Amino acid sequence: MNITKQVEQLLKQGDVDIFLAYRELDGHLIPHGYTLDNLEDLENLKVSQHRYSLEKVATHLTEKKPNLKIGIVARDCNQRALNLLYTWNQLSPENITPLMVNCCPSQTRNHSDCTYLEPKKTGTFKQKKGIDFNENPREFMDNNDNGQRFSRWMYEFSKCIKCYGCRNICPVCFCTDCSLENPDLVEPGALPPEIPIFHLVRATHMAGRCIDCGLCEDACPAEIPLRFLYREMNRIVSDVFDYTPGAGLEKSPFTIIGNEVTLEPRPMDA
Amino acid sequence: MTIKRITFVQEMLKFMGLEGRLHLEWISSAEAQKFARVVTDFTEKITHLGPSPIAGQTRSISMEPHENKRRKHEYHKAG
Repeated sequence: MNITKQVEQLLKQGDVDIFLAYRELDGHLIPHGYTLDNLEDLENLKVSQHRYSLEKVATHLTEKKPNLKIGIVARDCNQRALNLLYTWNQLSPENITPLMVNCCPSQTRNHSDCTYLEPKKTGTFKQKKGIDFNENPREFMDNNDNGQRFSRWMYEFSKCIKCYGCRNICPVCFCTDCSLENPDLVEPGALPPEIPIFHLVRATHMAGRCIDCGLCEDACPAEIPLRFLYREMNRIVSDVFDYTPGAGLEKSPFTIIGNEVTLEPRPMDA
Repeated sequence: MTIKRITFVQEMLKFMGLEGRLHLEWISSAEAQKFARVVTDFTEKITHLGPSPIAGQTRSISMEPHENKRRKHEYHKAG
């Protein structure tokens, strides 16, 4: 059964009040909510390699109407984001019906049908000065010494125009008070924002939360390799806390209140 | 738990190229000598590493300074 029929059935049976998917507008696919009142709209429903954090739309809808039943077209990354949002009580699994479609290469699925099928291209200048989007964090550590790493990251961060695009697109950014918008912490009207603190604050908040969908990197107009950064943050979380965000329904242990620990303090190597 | 969080920050700073500038140690109020030793060692280590590369870089291009100050003030009043 094709996806249009499936959605039609879900709406007609009353399993969902609204179905979040995409429609074409002037040659672009944009997020769109399909409802029973506009069934004829369904012929515009399209699934392609374009992605948007539909689960973020679902979170906003749920904020307004907590009992709204929402259907959602989901790839593997959407599913991971949904798991995380369930964990943090932003959505409840009873109200969400995901319809799975093909996705980018991931640990759980082999199908590929998304923007990450073709790796992002890195220009020669960026390769020399900055950080290659497709580099492996381990190789980055091996190939660059302390000073090189520092100057490369400072080059990347200094491009930031503080558009908050990474935060706005992020499916798992749901705090009502964002510390990056607090005028006491981040000075309003100054560019670039205080680096590297601005980006490290976000990186810390992403640790144990980022589900590696890569939308932040896609959205960034300054081409900062955010996915690369957050991926390494989660590597640390996985090593230290033994936790992978979005894989299951347990909360991240990287919180204020902790658990028992067996690690020893590091010796000071002078 | 503290140690896990600090390990996270240490690893993060290492990735950023700021390795070795954060140290965690448990010292009780009865361990004055340990305290003195740890602080001396760490001071020595930091002196050896030299000034932080971030120092002096954090001031960014801002709008007119007085305008900024006024804005901040308004925010304080509002908040």
